[in-house]
Amino acid sequence: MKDIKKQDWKLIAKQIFLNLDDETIDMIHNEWLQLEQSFVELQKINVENLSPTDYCHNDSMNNLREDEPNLQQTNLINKTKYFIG
Amino acid sequence: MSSTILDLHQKLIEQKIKIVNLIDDSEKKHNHTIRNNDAITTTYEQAKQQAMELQQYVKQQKNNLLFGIPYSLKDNITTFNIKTTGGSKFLENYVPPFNASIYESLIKANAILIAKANCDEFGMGGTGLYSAYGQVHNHYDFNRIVGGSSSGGANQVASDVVAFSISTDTGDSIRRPASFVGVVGYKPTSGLISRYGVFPYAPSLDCVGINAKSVIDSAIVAQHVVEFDNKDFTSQKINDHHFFNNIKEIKNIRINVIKDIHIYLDKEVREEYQCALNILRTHGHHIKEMNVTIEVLATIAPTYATISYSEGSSCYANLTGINFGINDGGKTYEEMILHNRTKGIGKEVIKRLCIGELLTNKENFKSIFTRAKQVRTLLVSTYKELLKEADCFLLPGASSIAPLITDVLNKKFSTSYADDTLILANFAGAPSITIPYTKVNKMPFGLNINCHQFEDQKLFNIAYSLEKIFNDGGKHE
Repeated sequence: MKDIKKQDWKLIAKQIFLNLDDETIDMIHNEWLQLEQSFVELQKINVENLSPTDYCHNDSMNNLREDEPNLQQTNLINKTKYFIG
Repeated sequence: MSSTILDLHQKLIEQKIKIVNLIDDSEKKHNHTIRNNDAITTTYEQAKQQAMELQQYVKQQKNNLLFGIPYSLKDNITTFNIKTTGGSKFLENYVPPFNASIYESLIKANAILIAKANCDEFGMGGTGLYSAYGQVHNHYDFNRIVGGSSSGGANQVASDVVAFSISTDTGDSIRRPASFVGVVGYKPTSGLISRYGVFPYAPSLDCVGINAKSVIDSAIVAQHVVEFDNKDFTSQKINDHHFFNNIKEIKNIRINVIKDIHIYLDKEVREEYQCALNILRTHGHHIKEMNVTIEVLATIAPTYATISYSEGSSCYANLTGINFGINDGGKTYEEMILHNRTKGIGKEVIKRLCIGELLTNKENFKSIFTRAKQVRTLLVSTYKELLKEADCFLLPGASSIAPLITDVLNKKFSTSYADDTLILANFAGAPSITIPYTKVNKMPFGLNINCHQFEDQKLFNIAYSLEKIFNDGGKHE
């Protein structure tokens, strides 16, 4: 991980359309230094063969269609009309 | 109105009180506790009007327990024609053109909204000190925090201004304040309560939940608001959501606890926590200690920070001032966005957005962001492991009583691994509830109960059984 210096925060903030004053830069930088230390804990964990969890439900599905059979049919017609052929 | 929803409903049906009396009483209590700064917007005039109109239908509402009951919504929940700021200056004049689904459910039940509750800006805080509309002060001690981000709502329930409050929970935002002000805080299985129209913080962790005075009250509200919603594509179905109808006391509960978690507790509450376990043993419940290594506990906070700051940074890229929010103009659109965002967004949020931006750049994406999501997988396994051969696992509601505001602001207070464990339920998308347990130095301290995903009924049953024990003498001061 690249070393982040105080002046880097101005540039990072610009990327997300924010201007930072010195006080805010200090606050962000202090929090970052603490976080950086705690990232060491993440590095200690063996994550081999662990897939990332994006969302808590493993069985995430399109509930709209399962719950609304009529809507499913309507969507099917729309799909055929607009996306197929 | 120091009564529960059930008491109030009974009195309304028997016509011992009128709905408008409840609203008047709520307003009096709000005025009495106004310095706590619990509400950003109040809707008493509208509420009184609604109360007058509803009164004639009271007799026919025996089965609608929320009919005429005053409540509040966290100010990050969208309400048509009622200002919704999310605790941010950026949205100080934002009046939404639509309703959140959760608000629609409560309108259908004819519950009466009396306030939009104060909260840390966009749910980012954890203390109640980071709202653009001022700090929220603890109902029990003005010099202490309520915890956050759902501070105003929990405090309003504690001070009887409302019977219940609807809030959001990304890390522990409903449950930790519940411990600090002695109320119940329920976070359901993710997806059971619709998030349509609710401002996000970190969508993979966010959850809409309830603060109420008792487990029964929480179950009553959950019964009304848990429903599948087509408008929320993460909405989940549950076989039976009649939590109140099905609630029952259960015996011989198998309760797992984290071995040695008490060493991460403040001295004041350490003994009380161990005392709670003894009380439960004497009532025939089975306590088993489970090992969670310090290495795993140490990953919770950085995993949460990485995921939530990164998702938050993405979610709030839409704060430009062009479509909504403050807009002071500028020569170019870039200048306008830069100016609006810098002026309207508070420092705590800016901090999280900047760090989130850094964590998701090309260099850090794999080494930190993806790694944090892999560690989340491990933490979800830890959560499930903690429930092995048990009905639930129990945690302290917080690592201490509510800390002093000055200690928090001067960094004399920091959270411990015991606080971090509350986030496990968000990682796992599982149901979790904090119930009042006791008071230490006149300040409340709660206990937290966790179950598997979709075991919300079991969670309510366990919480109800434990609450009964602590109310019937287990509770001590």
